[in-house]
Amino acid sequence: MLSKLKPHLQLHKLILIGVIVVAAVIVGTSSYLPQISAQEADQPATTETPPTPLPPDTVFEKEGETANIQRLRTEYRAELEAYRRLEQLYEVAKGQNEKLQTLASLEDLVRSTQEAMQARNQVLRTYFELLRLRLQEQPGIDLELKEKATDDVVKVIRLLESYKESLTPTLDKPQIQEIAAIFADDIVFIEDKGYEAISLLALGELQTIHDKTEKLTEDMKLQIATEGGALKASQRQRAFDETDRLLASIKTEVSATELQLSNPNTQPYRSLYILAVDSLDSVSDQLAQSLSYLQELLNL
Amino acid sequence: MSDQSLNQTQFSVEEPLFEQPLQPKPAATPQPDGEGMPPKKKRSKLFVVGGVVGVFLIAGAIIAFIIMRQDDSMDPLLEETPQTQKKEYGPLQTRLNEIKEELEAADPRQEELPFPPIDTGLSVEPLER
Repeated sequence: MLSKLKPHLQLHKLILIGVIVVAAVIVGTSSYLPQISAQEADQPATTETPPTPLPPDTVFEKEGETANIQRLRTEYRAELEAYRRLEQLYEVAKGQNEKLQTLASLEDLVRSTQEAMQARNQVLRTYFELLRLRLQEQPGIDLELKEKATDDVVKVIRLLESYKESLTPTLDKPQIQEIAAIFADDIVFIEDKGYEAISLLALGELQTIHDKTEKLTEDMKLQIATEGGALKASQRQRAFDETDRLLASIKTEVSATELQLSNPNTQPYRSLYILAVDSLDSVSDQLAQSLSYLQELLNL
Repeated sequence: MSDQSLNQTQFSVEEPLFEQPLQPKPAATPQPDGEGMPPKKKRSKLFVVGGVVGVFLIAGAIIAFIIMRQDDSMDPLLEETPQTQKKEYGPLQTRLNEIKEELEAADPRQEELPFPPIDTGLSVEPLER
């Protein structure tokens, strides 16, 4: 009987051993699964989304800014919010007064108008103070242009200070109307100087990046130009020559934009700013191209 | 002289012919309890072998799937090989990366400090222009 059972037992043993081996392999390889899923979780999303248009009051924070500028940015945001609320209240009071035409509604409108004007003044004051500090710290701007722009910004700040003093006491309707009329004339000057400053800031940023790219190119020539044998060296040399040509072309375009901004008598800075942005957009693309050339050179 | 020795009509080789004749064996009839039947034995063996083979096939498929997933996760490592070359120029690459980030932040189409969106015509009554 036992001899008859022996073949069956052997088969069952084989099955059992096979199952144990399979289980061991599965357990051993499944230990990689948590690591794989963790790696996948760490990988950033690769889906690309199209850039969304920025609201007009977006204020960017740049790394490495002084504490003063950061503080002013925070204040500016808060003051802009406060102004928006008061502007809405002004609109409501204006609508009520048009409907009701009572002394009470007129009193509300006068008070709301003054409060909104005070908030508006504060927003502009902080904004131009920000421009002044940014102009001070931004490299890459011609010194003469920078000094002129800074002087103009200081003039605006003083003008706004005078408005602040005028709007401090409680005013009646004729006084508010007088201040509103003067402001409607001055805003042209205020806006012009604001666009002068932001034009130069945009130019200065790209000029600085161009200068850094030139310096990096020179350093790369010193360190890697002759590495990898004669064939690679000649390949690199051609690549460096092309990069130099591109950087020279960028420099010409930046200089032309700078010249345009230094002659404001032709048109207001707001218009010059729009033209400068078109030109600087092209400069930005070319700078990106030159950086990709340098990346290729490093990979060579 | 015995009788046998005197019998000369029967040869010695013929002796077996004159022994009791062989009785034909009866045909084997199937037993109702199935003991020791070869076809069933073969069937059970087939099942067992098939089961073992099946288990190994499933295990092999699982292992292959896991290995394929590992290969996919290894791709980023393969893609990173150019970066390992860049590490030889560490400081230069770092500077290049910094400049790239600055350029991205300096997009002229994105105004860093746009002019404040204010109502320039705030007044109690409409202004004469």
